[in-house]
Amino acid sequence: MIQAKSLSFRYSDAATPTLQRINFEVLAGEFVLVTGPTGSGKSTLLKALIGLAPHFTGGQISGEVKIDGLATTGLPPHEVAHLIGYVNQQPAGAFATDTVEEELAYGMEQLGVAPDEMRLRVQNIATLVGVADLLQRPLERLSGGQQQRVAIGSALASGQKILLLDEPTSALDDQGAKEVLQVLKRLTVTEQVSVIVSEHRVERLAELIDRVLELRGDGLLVEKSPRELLISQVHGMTAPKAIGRECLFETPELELKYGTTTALHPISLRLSTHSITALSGDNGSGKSSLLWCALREAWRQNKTVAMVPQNASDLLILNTVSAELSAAHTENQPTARRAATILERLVGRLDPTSHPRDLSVGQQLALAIALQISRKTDLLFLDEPTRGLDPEAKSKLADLLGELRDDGHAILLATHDHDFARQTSDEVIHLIDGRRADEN
Amino acid sequence: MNLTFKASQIAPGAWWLLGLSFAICAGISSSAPTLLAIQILAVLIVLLAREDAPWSRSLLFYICTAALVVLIRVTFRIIFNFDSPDQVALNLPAIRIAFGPLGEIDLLGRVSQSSITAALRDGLRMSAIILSIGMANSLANPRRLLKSTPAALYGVTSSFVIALNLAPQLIASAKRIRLSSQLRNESNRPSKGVMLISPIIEDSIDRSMALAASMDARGFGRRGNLTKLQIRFSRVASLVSISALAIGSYLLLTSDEVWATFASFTLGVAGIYASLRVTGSSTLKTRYITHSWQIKDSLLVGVSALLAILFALGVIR
Amino acid sequence: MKTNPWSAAVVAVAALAAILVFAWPLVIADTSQVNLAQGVFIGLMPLLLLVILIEFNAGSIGTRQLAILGLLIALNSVIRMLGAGVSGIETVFFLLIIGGYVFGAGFGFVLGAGSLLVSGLLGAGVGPWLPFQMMAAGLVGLGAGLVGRLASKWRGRGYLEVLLMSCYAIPACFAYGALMTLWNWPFLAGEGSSLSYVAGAPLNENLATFLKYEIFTGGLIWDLGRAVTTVVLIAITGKTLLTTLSRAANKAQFS
Repeated sequence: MIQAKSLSFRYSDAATPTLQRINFEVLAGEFVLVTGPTGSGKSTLLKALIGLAPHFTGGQISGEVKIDGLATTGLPPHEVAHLIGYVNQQPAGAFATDTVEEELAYGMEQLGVAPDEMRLRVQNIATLVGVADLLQRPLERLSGGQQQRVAIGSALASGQKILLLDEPTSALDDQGAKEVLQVLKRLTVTEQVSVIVSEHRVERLAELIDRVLELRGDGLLVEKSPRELLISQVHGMTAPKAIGRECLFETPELELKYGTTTALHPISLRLSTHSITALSGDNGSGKSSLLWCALREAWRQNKTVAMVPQNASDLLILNTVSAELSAAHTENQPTARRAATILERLVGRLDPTSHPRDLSVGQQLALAIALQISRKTDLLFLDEPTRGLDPEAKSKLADLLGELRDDGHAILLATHDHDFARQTSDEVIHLIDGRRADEN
Repeated sequence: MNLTFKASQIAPGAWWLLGLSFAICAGISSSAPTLLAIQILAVLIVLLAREDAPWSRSLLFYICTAALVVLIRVTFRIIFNFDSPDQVALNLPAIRIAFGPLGEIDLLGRVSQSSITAALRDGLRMSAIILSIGMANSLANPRRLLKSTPAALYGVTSSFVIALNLAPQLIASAKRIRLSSQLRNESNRPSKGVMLISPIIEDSIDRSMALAASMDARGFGRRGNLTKLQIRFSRVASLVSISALAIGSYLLLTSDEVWATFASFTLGVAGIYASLRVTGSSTLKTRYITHSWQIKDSLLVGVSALLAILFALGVIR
Repeated sequence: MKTNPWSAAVVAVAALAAILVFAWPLVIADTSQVNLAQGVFIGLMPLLLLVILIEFNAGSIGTRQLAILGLLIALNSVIRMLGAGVSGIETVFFLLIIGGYVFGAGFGFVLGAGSLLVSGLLGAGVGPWLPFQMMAAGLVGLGAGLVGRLASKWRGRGYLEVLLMSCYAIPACFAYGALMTLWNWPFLAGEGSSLSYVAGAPLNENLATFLKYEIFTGGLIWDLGRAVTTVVLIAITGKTLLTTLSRAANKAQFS
């Protein structure tokens, strides 16, 4: 279905190509995983296949891509839209309409499918991706997993036989991810759709995939079998050490209501020095709400606290990486240097002149974490600190958090990554529907 | 046959036709009771047919605007009055203000009965037009309406739809970024407005680019380009239309040539229609119909047309 | 963007016709047709808008450019809704002028017209005045685009450009105000009052009455408020926005 021959891609202002003479082939009905370290070009590879790179990103492409025997290199996305479906990292931001059924039909409208046939296909595709009972539902009232499935349906509604997905499960909790992956498996088996997925959290996918393409970070690509991948995934995390702890921060009962719905039932937190506390739970379970409530409480009590919000790029407000780093703390130069060191440790050296908005999601997160950690506050709050990080960066982050704990900091993190929560933390508070799970 | 006339069950185009025909009737009529009846009817229809949607919540705004227009029109007529001795309804002291090089201006004085009723009638006509259009806007889903605009405007209306989709997200992201700016400094104070403009716009540019990418990846922009001939035709048609409309307006205001006036206006509208058709013909996209035209839509359109015709012929005044 | 002279001619003719439609009370000769005239002109304005929008749409605009347009319309609508309620403060114009300046005349027109339409649909209200507001705001954006073209050799010299935009903003705000007052003049004053237009009267007499109307109804003060707000906002945000929007223009590959 897809053949890439010596495919190269270089961003306009980059020193080295992101993809360097890559060769691979994907057959009909194959389920292929593209993996690699943060910023290694996984998203870029998918974008190059559908033409978003260079047409939406700038840069130069060379080599040859053949889709179903047709040479498509350098064509804009809308010229290959009838052959390839593409779902980006945040489907909610990519919806062009209001309701599920209109969204499913959107691509078909653009491709000029006849109205009667459209009706039929909307029904079929909705059944296939499991949203048949949600057709009239406004898109913003869907769960993350449902949104992802609608996006998949819309990408395939015109009968496309290739589906590209950029980190389809990284923002999803386990239940949502399971639903999405089941749909993908069904598509490869019953519809012979070739699926190419880029993803960090390979453990969820390991059993489903046929083949792995790994980008090594230097622009080269190596093929692996799923088994090899799992072996390379095993990495140790530091075991919690028990040191003399004292209570640093104690909250009264925190509670949050929006109108008549309760986002958070009364819950209190106690954070000690030398400790990492994790809030785990599914999307919408109240983790973030609790974190923000705790933050306001910490401000109220005049504690020094640093926080990395879920949307890490919100913290980045200046024009270059180096400006962000030197603004880390204006009066205190060592802080900037410390931030630079932490950043390099997490994701390697970044070009100091690049615009923070042009970094990959994982790199933005790493930068935000570096900026906030370097302030050396007593309390450190992190909301979903692993999103978009590859396993290596994740384990480095775990090490880093371990060191901070040993230095005496109290760390509170919210994550739906249960493994990360278990492996890093001294205490895991599991939340279900705004309540502590052990209280139910 | 299902004959419930709820806002979302009628095509938005039908609501607009009803609103426009009400407005036309109001424009023609010069009887205060009829104008009042049109207003009451418009408000009643909104109250009966509306559902809980953001665009249905502005009824009060329209009623207030309508009332204000009547009030302003009448007060205006009383304050900026020409002193007149006939049928005096209000006898106020006349004031004359010299206004430098612009001349003089008369205020108050003896206000005649007829000038007040005329002002009241004109005010009622304006407010009836406002309420008629307000009715259409309160009942028709704007997105669905934008969806049914002609193919020749597809690009422009798409950007309007993008704007409607992005507006609520913008408010959310502005709030988020303001909150996040508190996290970067020791004092935990949010940054000042101007500091935030750039990150908010950068954030929303990224969002709009992601949306554009997803639209393009699903085939948006896949229209055959217009040929030179088509573009040239559309431009000529536009220029002819504007000239015809200008001639039509001139004739309307200066002569009694009913047929020539009518012909000019018809030519003008036809030219724009032709331009719409020709520049819209090259898109190969189709439309997914969420609402199929039903008997009740036709019924509503029929009633609207009948009303407008009865007013135009002078059967109802 | 290169502009075809024919395209410019169509837009220019339509804009001229639109200004005449605004100005009818100044030039109308015959009293007997006034009511009819008002109705017909309310119907004409949407047609003229349509002509310009068709012309814009016929040019090849890419998805990214449309997305930027949609984004700026959304921003502008949100800003307008936030600014509404504070009298004398009119916040739509600074972003409109900067946007038109950076992205060109056609873009500026659609940005102006679209901002008024979308904010109207979002709750600022839709009425017979809307096509007139759309046209007037569109013309302000169009003018900003023309200023941007004239100043193309100054690109990148931030403060000079901000100054230039501020200089344009003052007459533009007053012109917008004058157009909208022209529109509501017959609407609110009607005929026969001492501040009404007189059909058939010489142009200068009607202009004098119009000026008096502007002064008495506070229109000029309102315009002044609008101009001051706009200039202040351009001065504060101009430099930042120029950089940000130029970056966006690069991303969207405006050529």
